[in-house]
Amino acid sequence: MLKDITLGQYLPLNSPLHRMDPRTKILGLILLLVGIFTVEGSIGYALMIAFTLFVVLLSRVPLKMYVRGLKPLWFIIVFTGLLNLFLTPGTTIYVNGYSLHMTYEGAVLAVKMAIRLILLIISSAVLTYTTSPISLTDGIEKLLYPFTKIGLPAHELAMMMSIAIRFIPTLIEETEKISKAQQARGADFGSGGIIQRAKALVPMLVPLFISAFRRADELAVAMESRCYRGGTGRTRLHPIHFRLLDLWTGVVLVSLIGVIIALRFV
Amino acid sequence: MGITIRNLEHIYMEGSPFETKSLSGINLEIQDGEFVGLIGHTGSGKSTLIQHLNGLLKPQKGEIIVNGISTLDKDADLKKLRSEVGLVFQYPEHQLFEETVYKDVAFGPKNQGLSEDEVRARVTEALHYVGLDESMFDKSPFELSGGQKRRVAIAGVLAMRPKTLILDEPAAGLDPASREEILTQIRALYLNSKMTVILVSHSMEDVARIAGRIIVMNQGKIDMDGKVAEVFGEAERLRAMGLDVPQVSRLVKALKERGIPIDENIYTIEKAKAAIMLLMKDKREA
Ligand SMILES: Nc1ncnc2c1ncn2[C@@H]1O[C@H](COP(=O)(O)OP(=O)(O)OP(=O)(O)O)[C@@H](O)[C@H]1O
Ligand SMILES: [Mg+2]
Repeated sequence: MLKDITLGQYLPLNSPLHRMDPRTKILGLILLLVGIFTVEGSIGYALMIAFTLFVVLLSRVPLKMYVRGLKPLWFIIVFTGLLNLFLTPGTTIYVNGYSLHMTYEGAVLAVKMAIRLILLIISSAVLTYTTSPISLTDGIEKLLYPFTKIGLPAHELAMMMSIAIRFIPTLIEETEKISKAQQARGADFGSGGIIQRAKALVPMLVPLFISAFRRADELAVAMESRCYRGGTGRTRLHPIHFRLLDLWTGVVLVSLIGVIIALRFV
Repeated sequence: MGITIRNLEHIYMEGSPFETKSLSGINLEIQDGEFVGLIGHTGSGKSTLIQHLNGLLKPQKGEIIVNGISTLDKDADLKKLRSEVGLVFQYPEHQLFEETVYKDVAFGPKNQGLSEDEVRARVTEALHYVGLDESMFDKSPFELSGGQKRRVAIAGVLAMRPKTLILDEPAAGLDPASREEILTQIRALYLNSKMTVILVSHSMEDVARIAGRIIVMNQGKIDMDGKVAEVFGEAERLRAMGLDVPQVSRLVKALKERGIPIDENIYTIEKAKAAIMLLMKDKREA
């Protein structure tokens, strides 16, 4: 169940995208998101789809991983699709017995929204599949660095994020282990009313919190005993570099989004 | 009626780049009343195997029949299965959650839907089995020592009165005295009740001392399966798997190689001591 959430899992492969500076990828994703939300017209959509497909192939991540990432969100995609289909005013193309109007405009909007959602999910997945959590937070720290002048604790934020990301799999694993152990003692997490189900979670949450606090404590001690004093004066094992590849990526992305915006507003 | 496993296979995270085949081609028959030691190096699939025995994991291929019921059967009563096959996980003290020792041990029997009196009787019995008396009942499990916590957790499974008891590394991470005590208690429990016990362990000494049959796992497969003497007789094969025979057994073998007439099938310190004392006595008398 918990293991099915593949969104946000790094796959250690070797592709140009894996080697790219995380800052390029983060800013690139932001640009792509802008593109996805402004795109209009068939040429624009074709461009966006083609580019996303290109990036997906470039990432060398198996296609089925992307499909799996989409799976938990099918419901949302279909649901918003249906809403758009029936609730958009316009030329009616079909009416059923319950006076639900399916309109032409609604159908177009439903398809557009579905494409946007899918592109959105896939392009975020590209980032998380090709960027290790560490380099992701490194990238964010570097990007936020200019804001330290106005008092933003960039390093601390990034550190908090990497710790949180680092412990997600551990917590999932731990949750599974504890839930199995309690199930072995006859605990039943799946049946009964809401209150009963909430109560059934206690045997799982208490040990989970205890172990989370213990881990946090141990981690703090381990960091202090290795002289962790925050970000000042800290150097990196793997410094991130802006290379030629990143420059070209930037050029391509900016032109693409430029075209998308031009298509929309000009 | 025992446990039958046929052609069991298990793959973790199938279809992802991280997939690991943790069990393959497992065929096994465990009779009621056996004491089985399950050994194998780290990652050999021991924990994965035992989680199949109470239906926490379902066979991806093959089948498991516990007391006449297949765990794949859609109508199989998993709750009943889990109270018949008690499973104590590795580091079970991490699953304690109640305010008092008593309440925590009562969690299992309460889930079985037993009456208040019956629950009390079982909890008291289980805690006595693991050597904890009434003075501990109202303490918070979190203020106990590691070894005591471990015992409370084991009692939590015992209180369900399982027909089969499976323990995953029950003595791991304890000091020698607590180790000794827990293993002795398990042995006593086995002898006094008619339970089937499956003990997972890294320690050859522990297994040699208390198990009747040993199953050796290697890379997801059963590599050896037999009486203690048969398995430890093949020291070379065990060593090739990164395991070892008990130290005492090495000593006995070395003595034998030097021409001292000692029984080769000795795996515990007590027996070795007795045998050596006897030899010394014979020698003195001669
Ligand atoms: N929840 C899980 N997800 C993915 N892989 C797992 C999981 N649990 C175990 N594995 C893998 O399956 C294999 C068998 O693991 P298992 O825990 O059964 O070994 P074990 O014999 O109990 O080892 P140990 O003696 O260290 O407890 C290992 O390679 C392990 O990495
Ligand atoms: Mg294990």
